Amino acid sequence: MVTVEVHTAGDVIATYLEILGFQNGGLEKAVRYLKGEVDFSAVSGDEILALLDNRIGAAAAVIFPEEPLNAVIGTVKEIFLTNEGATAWGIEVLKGKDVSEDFIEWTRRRRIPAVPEAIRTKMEKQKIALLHPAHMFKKLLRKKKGISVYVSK
Amino acid sequence: MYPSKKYPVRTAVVVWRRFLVFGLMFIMTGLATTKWIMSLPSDSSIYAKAGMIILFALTFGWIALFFLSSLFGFKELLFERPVPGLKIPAPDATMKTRTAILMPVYNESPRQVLGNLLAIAHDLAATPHAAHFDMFVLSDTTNPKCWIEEEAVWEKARTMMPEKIPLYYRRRVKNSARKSGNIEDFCQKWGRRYENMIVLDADSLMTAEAIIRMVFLMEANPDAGIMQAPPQSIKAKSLFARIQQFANKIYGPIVTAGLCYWQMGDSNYWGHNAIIRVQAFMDCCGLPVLPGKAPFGGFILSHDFVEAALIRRGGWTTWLLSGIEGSYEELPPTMIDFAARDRRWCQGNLQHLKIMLSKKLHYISRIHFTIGIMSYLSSALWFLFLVTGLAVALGHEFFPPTYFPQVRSLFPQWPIFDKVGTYFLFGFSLFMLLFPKILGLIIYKVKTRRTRGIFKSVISEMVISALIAPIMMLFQSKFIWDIITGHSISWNTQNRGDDGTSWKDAFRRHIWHTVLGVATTVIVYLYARSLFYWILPITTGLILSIPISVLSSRVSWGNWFKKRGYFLTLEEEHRPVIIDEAEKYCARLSIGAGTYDVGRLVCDPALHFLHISLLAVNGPAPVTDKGVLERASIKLENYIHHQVDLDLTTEEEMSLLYCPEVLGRGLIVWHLKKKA
Repeated sequence: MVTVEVHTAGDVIATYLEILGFQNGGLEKAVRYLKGEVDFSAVSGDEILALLDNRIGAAAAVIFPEEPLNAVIGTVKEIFLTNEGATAWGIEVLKGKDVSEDFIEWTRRRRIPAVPEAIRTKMEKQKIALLHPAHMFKKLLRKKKGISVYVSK
Repeated sequence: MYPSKKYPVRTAVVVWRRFLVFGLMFIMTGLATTKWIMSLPSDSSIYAKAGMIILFALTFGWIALFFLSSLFGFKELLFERPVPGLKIPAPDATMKTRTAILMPVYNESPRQVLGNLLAIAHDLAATPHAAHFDMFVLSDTTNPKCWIEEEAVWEKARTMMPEKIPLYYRRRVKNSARKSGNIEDFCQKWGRRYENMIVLDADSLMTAEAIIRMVFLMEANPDAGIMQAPPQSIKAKSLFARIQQFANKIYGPIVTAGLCYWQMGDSNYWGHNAIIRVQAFMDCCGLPVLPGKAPFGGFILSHDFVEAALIRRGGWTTWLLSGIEGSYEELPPTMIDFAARDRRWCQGNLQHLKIMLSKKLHYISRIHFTIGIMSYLSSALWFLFLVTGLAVALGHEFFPPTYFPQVRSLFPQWPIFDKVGTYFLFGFSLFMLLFPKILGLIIYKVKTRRTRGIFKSVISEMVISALIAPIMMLFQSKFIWDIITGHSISWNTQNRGDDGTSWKDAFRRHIWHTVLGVATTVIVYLYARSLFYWILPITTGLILSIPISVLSSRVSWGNWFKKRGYFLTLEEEHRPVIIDEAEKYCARLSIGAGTYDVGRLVCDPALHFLHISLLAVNGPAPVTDKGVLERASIKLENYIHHQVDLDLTTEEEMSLLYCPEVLGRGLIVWHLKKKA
């Protein structure tokens, strides 16, 4: 399995944030903020990632409450990265369920849905009554009823 | 809204037109078959005679139908008469309905597909009706690299779309029932949002003018379920494709107009470049799985004919709009690709044998099925006809006629063979095949006022087509044999590249054509020399099948002929703007493309997050074998830590693409490693 090998917690957090677009002073501030908010001591690299994802997941659940969490974490990260959210909003995305209304609005407005909302309707399978040769013969034989066939002994 | 059961075309017109076409077909076939019976050698066996009579009647009837359709098509085009029953929208009509433009794709080049969609979208955006359209890329892609590329290119294309037209993307996890299942899935989720849908193919291109006209026609004809715009072939580069393109351009319109003439509101659907009333489709076109095993059972392959038949059965009308311009498609670039497409279509059409006699279908739908089946079966019938004829000729050589039978007689029994009658039938059949081409040429000249290289092109097309025809006859006969003996095929993506056929490939595919051609020529020369010059036009194509296949697949040969003014079409000389636009967008989408694989997903965070967010849109992930995922993860780890090539199998790559946890860790580790 791909595992996060021996690195300091600070390295892993910084990399995670860099991927989201944090840089220089903003990055340092965000690392400091996270270290103050979450206890990263005595956890593995994979667990750090899970904690960070939970943080963004909590924010995503507030921003898009009616959608599956696994989808919206990616959506929030994508919107944040591609719209330079790190520069515009700093640590806001890391605040979990305490994200501001303005940030919620900003994120929602930048979302371009992949598909429109579904209006589910079932399409009934059509009946195609196939003709079978055996049935054809049966039909023919049925029509012959009433005609007696005598076999001489 | 439901269709009124009243047919919008006056019955007398319908009956008269069909009576005329089919009546004349039966009369011509009857007369020709009688002449053929009288011309057959008197000393042939009864079985040989019966076989030759049946095969002659079927093949003659087939070409007679297309001869007559072309004849009436010519008349319709010359006098530009409106199609009875089809209401023309008012010029000041306002658009009331919403239309979804659907692009179903299966392992296609996303840049080309989305380039085409962008061109259509921008063309629509320049009209006042843009807000009435949404676009969907409906992916059934199974190739993991293609899947990642689709997502990346779609994301880029979205930024290039005009403001008023949204571009949606969804990929099905399981591509059950292929294209028909793909469209059905769309209808079940989003169908209720739209009144119409325009179904495209991966290589389809349509102008806004054509699309808008089709929407207005749907609005003006509330009984219409489907309207098919006949696509014109474009962008051919190889010699083979350019010849096909030229033939479609010159001869296609009269055949289409001819079909329009007798089909009217009972036309067919060709699977793309058509507008469909969503309600009609949803009510009538939930396709069942046919009982039994493939090739005849299972999912319906050529779903278009069946959908048209079911929509017609539901009381809606179906129209072929021969007058619509600006509907385009591309052609397979080589003879082998053409044959591969034919193999799929052949199986799909033969599957209709099971459906065409089912209950409650409109009789014209049954004729559509028959025409589809005969498109392929006719090759096998021609082949059998030739074999039987040859066998009879050789029989005469090996078993000379008995002039003095055992019953005593004053005079010898001379075998009677009406040579003149046979020549007449041969000449007339040839006339029926070639005359529609002349009619097509006349219409082309009248309509476009073009003459540049047209005559030499027509003559060359006839010669090359005559060489290719026997090869295609053998290909299609083999396909039919394979299907009858239960050999199914996998539904592969159509090749749209310009690589050409290699000599090795051509040898592998055509060696038996060559052997058969040589053997037939030698046998006929030795034992039935009187037939030698008759059989030569057929065997020449077979003997030369390998070089014909290779050389006709070359783009350089296509260009050589183009420079000298051969096979030029109007679209080649004056390229429609939309083709240039599509190519321009395709080129823009290709900038910075690079490779798309799992490796890209761990180093490109934006694409990574996009992929993860789209996973949920696509529905629940399929169950993946844990061992496969574990192997794939180890390979990914080796790739990140030790720069070992990502040598993933398709299954392994798919398992990673469906696993956001592993991909997420890969993303972090790759960036950590990069920093280190």
